[in-house]
Amino acid sequence: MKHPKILIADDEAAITTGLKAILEDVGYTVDVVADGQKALDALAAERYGVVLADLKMPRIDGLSLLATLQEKRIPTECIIITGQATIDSAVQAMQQGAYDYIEKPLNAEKLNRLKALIPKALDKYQVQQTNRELASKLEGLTHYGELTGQSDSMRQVYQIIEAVAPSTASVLILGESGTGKELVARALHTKSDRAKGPFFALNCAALPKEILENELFGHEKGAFTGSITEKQGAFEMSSGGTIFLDEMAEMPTDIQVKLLRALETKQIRRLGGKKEINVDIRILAATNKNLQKAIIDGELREDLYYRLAVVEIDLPPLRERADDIQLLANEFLGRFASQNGKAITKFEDAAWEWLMSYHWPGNVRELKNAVERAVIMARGNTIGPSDIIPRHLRGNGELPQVVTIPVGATAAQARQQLVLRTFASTSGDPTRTGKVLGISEGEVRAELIGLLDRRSGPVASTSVAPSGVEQRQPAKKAPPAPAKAAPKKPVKKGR
Amino acid sequence: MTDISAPEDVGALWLQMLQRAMARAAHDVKDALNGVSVNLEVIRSRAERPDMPAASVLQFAEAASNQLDRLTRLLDAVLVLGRSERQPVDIAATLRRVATICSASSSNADAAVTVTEDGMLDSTASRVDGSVARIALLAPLLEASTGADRSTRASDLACALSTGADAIRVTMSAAERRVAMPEQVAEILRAGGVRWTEDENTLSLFFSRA
Repeated sequence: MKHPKILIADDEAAITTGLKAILEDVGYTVDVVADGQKALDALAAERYGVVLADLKMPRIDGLSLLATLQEKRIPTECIIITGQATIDSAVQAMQQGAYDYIEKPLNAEKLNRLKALIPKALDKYQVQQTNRELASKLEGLTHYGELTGQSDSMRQVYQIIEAVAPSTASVLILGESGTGKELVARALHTKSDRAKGPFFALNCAALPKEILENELFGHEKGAFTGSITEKQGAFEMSSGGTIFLDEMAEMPTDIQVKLLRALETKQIRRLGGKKEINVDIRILAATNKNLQKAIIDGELREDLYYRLAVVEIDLPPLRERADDIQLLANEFLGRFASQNGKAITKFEDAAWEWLMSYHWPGNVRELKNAVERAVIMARGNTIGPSDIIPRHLRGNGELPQVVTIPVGATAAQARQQLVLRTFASTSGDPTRTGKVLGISEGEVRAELIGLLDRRSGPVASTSVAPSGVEQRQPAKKAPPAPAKAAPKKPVKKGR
Repeated sequence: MTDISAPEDVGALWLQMLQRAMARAAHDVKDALNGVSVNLEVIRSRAERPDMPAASVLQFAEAASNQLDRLTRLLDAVLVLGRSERQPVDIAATLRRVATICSASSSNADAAVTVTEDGMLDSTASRVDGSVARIALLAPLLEASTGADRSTRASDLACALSTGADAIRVTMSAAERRVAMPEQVAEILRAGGVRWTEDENTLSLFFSRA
């Protein structure tokens, strides 16, 4: 891989010529400027992974250059080189964000130290550069692979996937049922070097022990009664690809031992077989269980947990990312209206109120099913509350008695949740909601309208397809504008 | 040059000024040594590589040699100026040595001190006391570069030497700076027989010929 360039800023030509030659001899591309201002000009025109700056230079000295780099957030790592080393200037340089500090004379020992420092500084620069590019790429994303969400918490998930996918590390995906754990696994596979290999998903809770073992490791002919042919298991069939083990905490412990062995030796043995078979597999696992409890209860081997949980991705429940409900609901509406040949374009205000206030224990899957059902049931061009609210939840059905406010939420968000949930629990009666909460009906309405106001407006979404190719998607229809204006309040993105 | 008091002993004043000039030139000494060190390191590392042609080190050998020449000139000047001046004093030789030291200290401000000599130059031996002549030449040059450091590029200092019927003339000028005789040494110089005139950017010194 080509190294980023190095910039030497020093007015002493006798030193810069030699230093440039030394660095070029070990493969770096080096530019030289004679003062701090010229260094800033060069950095404005081109990217440099490392700047070697003399402390004393004409026009802008090393420390001022460093301060400007920090102030203007110019991406580079700065190593201060000086013949006037003092503790104060060293401390000041490091405090101002210098990567390191080297004193002249640049004898063999110092030059060796410099040559050792530069790759580390370049590594840091490249990691930060990757993060900057990633953050910039993910900013504004509403879709990532098959995942949908624009909340901060989902963007963090995208960022982890982007960083982890190219590695070979096992990943443990945590999250409630319906949060999209398999979609995360698919995204990890699709964005990895194994994308051309198979993706094999297996639900460990859905299969009896013998069948699960057989599915994973295969069997030899005659391994058990009725096994008249040999069969490859998931490890063999997916070699070069990825296996996704959903509900992995439900896996019987004796299979966990075999799985651990397979992960550590990269070899498996079919049921009834004597031959070790080499496999090349990346394991992604998911669970909605409390793993610490499962380990204490002996349901999950601790060594397997640590082997699988090299990286953990925690998928937030839908109720903690209310910002995504509108995006998801509109997307499902468009999809199912099209599939069912219906001209439904929007949710009615009351339907939105319910969608936003319901706590979605079944997460995205439940929302998807609710919208699909509503599209099928709706008779007009809009979806009303009677279409979207399941029969068993109408009236005083299963409405949340507890409001969960995540740490980090603002007081305005807490108030909003309280009003919405209370409103839902009163079957949409603003008068009763006001009485329960001890606020006026007007305040209830203002809160509800304010919420809709904040969520209105078309959303132009950008998605990154599994191939990594960016696609522009049409703007989604926003929820209906409220009849009257309400004071706008700052909204922190849901977590 | 507020640090220059007015000691009775002209020799002591001269040594005090020389010490100050050397302190300022010390960075130049270090830079030259650093230059030698880095260039020798290039030569050493390339010499260990069989794929490197021998000619590839020539440039760095020359650079190291130039830095050593720079140091030698500076140290020669210091050695001579540190000793008592013979009489009659040679103004041209003294000016060149003083300029070498000031050039080193001025290089911290990225400014050069140049000396040009009139093509028709006659003898530059002067009747003025050697220490007085040195002070007369060094004091204005040091004063002109005071306050200049590497964060503010200074303009070059030009010294020109010529001879007249009675006197040896040295002019010192800078494009963007005033070159003047510091008040603290004026009395000693007048007492020593040195004359001078000043206009906006130029100082002209006159030393009576031997």
